[in-house]
Amino acid sequence: MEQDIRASLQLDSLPERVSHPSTALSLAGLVVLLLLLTLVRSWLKGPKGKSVLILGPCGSGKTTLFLQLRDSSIHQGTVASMQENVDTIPIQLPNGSSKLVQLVDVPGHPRVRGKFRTYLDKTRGIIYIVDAVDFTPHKTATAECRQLYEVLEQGLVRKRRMPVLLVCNKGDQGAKAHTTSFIQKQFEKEIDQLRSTRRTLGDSAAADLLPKADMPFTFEALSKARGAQVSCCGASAKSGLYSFTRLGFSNDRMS
Amino acid sequence: MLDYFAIFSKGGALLWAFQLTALRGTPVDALVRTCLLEERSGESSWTYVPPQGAGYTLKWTLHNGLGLVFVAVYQRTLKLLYIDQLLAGVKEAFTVQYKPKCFEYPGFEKRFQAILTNCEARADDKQLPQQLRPKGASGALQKGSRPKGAGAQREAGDKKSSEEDSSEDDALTTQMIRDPAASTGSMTELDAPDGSSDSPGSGSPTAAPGTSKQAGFDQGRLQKMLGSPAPRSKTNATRRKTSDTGGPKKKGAEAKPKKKEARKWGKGTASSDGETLDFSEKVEGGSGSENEQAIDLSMKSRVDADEEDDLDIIADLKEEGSAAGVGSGKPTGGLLSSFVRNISMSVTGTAALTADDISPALVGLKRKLMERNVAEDVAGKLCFSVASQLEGQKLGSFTRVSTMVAGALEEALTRILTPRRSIDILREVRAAQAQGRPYVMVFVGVNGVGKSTNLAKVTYWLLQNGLRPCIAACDTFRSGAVEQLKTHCTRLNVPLYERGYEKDPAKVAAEAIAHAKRQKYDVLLVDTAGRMQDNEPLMRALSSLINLNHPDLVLFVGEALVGNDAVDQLTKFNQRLADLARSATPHTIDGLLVTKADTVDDKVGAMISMVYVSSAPIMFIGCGQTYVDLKRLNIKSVVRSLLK
Repeated sequence: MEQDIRASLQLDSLPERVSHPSTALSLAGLVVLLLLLTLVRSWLKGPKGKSVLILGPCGSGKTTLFLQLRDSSIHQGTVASMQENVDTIPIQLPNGSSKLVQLVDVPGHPRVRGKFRTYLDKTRGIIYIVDAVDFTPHKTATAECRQLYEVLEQGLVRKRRMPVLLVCNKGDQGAKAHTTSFIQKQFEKEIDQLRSTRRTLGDSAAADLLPKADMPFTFEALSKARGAQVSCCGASAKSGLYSFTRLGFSNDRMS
Repeated sequence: MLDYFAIFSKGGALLWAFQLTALRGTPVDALVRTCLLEERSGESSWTYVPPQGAGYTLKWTLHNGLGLVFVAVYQRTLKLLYIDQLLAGVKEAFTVQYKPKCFEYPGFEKRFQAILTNCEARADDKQLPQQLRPKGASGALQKGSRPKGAGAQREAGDKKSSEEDSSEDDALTTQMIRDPAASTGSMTELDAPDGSSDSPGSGSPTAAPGTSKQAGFDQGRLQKMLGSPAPRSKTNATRRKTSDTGGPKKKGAEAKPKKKEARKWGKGTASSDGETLDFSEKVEGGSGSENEQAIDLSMKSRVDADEEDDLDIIADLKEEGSAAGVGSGKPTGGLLSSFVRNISMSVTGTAALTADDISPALVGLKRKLMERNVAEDVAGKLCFSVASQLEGQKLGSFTRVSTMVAGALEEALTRILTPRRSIDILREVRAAQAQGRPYVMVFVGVNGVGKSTNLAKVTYWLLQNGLRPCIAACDTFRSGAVEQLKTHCTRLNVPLYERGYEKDPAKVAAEAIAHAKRQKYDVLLVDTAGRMQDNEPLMRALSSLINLNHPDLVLFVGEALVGNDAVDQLTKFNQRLADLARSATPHTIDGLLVTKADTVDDKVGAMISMVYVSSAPIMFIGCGQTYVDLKRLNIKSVVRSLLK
């Protein structure tokens, strides 16, 4: 076999026999290069970064949660953000150990929220926070769901099956806040509708958020379909009433 | 009196606040959302109107090195002259105390009070002699605010006071960091009409006289100019000439043969030569007996096509434009000191940027933007905004100032073009469907921009997506408008609601909506008459049409060829719609449809002007003559072609 190849090579390159060893060398070099490439790739793939993104619409309490997680205090309060807040904080895991996590709080203003994409390749998990008080199904919900949908349809989110924690904030306002299950259902309903309109738009990336088109969208179905894993919880970032265990839980699954 | 003063980080954490009275609403949040993040930070004041009560004026200054924002809030009715000084003073004082990750500044209150009283006292000193002087003769800052009386004494006092003022102002300029911007800013604030000065674009009285002159331009001339903003210098004019003859013609030559082949009107209808005047008929339509043949919907509208690759408006870009590079605005003065500074800055990269470092690069960028047909006013404001956000930032090592400025401008442009509201019309149509009513879209715009044509394109696209559209002919003004729509409707096989001419368009639209609701159509597309923005009776009619019928979407159709006039058109349309509205929350323009984008090559600046002025997103782009030639905006490629 090899001789055959050699013979053919000889035939082909009859005038320049000198090229044999160089061909062999270049072949070997190629193999080494390929090996190196795969090594580098796996090395790049291995540590997936350690960022946790805090996303959500304007005024839902992202910066407040960020400050709470970092300093356990909201200090003087917050105003609308113009830039991302990035910091590395230690997070307690349920098993007692602690771990360093880079927390990124991306502003919710529609013109800048797209920036979360630049952090995605280092992201382990996403906290999506919504305002449970100012949640009117027909108006605000659409915009909020659109953003979550945008997040869920990201290739990286789906590929890595990123855990997404849907936090229904402002639970401190008692009866004024909608229940977590209500908000979750609204989100599922809205995303289902978004799926159908995107499908008619012929957007190929959106079509496979779920394997079957006629399947009603639920976060559970998404998780089963090897998409992102979404879980929900209620919280109050302002008064510090968020369960670290839940956040820790999502982090635990990340590791 | 000052109401509120806040210092916060760009990340959104409040560092220090000083409250004198309880605030109504959330002025600071609103400032960040609708001013600072909308590339309007180049202006120096902004008005916030709370849900109830009188409005506030906000002034701010940024410290970009530390990422801090200083905001002062006061009653709009007051003209506080010391605010700029106060901001500068507080900025200076606070930067000394500032520590990252420190949120408690208990000692700063005293310092702030000292600065405040100092500023107030100085302002009083300044004001006192002025009040003794004849009225109306004070400096530029106050001219607008004072009642204009005492005419006779005025001239006499004028000289003296202006002299005094200039000396005082000199003293001031050393204090105020952004003095030129500040003084123009407060002029605009004074000139702005009450209650609406926060509406987009109203802060452009400087542009108004210039642009209103151009309102009378005929479109033909604009087309000839290919929408390039008229630069004053001769060299520019000649360059434009060459580019005009080179660029578009080449493109035309490429495009033409294709189109001619595709049509072949003459041959296709040769059998029925005389009777069919319908040029829109397709070639393969052999049955010449039908006058207007329904088109098939098999061809996919380009709205749905996967983009990324094109926006061929800009794909084939000639290199002539790139001569005016980013850094070309830099003076080649060759002073040794500046050279050394440049070198040391680029190597060490630690020096904070000053206005002087940024401005040469910005001048080049502004010129480039204007060459790309961005309205002058908008280009200027954009550059101001970019400068105010860069000033004080640290330059990274081995980066040039021009690269940094270009990067910031690119970010700003992307931010402007990114839509704030949903542009997913299909989703909104579904929502309307669920409520059992038609989704009403109104197409408005000046004459001859292609409202009807693009209405037909949108209809085609809706049909393709399995919806049932209906068209209402509310252009009861121009002869032949209804017939034109009829032709489109027959071809698309879509019902047309029309009531002939000489009717009130508002009533026709109301009837059409009722009709569409009865017949259970999904979407109603309302075509209106083209009107110039200064045409009072027609603008009134349009306003009543919109206010009576409450459409879901008011789509402004504008052509990509428009230059400085874009600002005027959109400002006036929005203004008239707001002024003539009967309700407290007027319905203004929701979205834009930019037509004739295939004719402008890389001069896509009109899109920026339109979006900046109206802060409405671009929903569609018309880029050709056939029904499929409708596209979505590709932000990346537009930005790329603007900065190329």
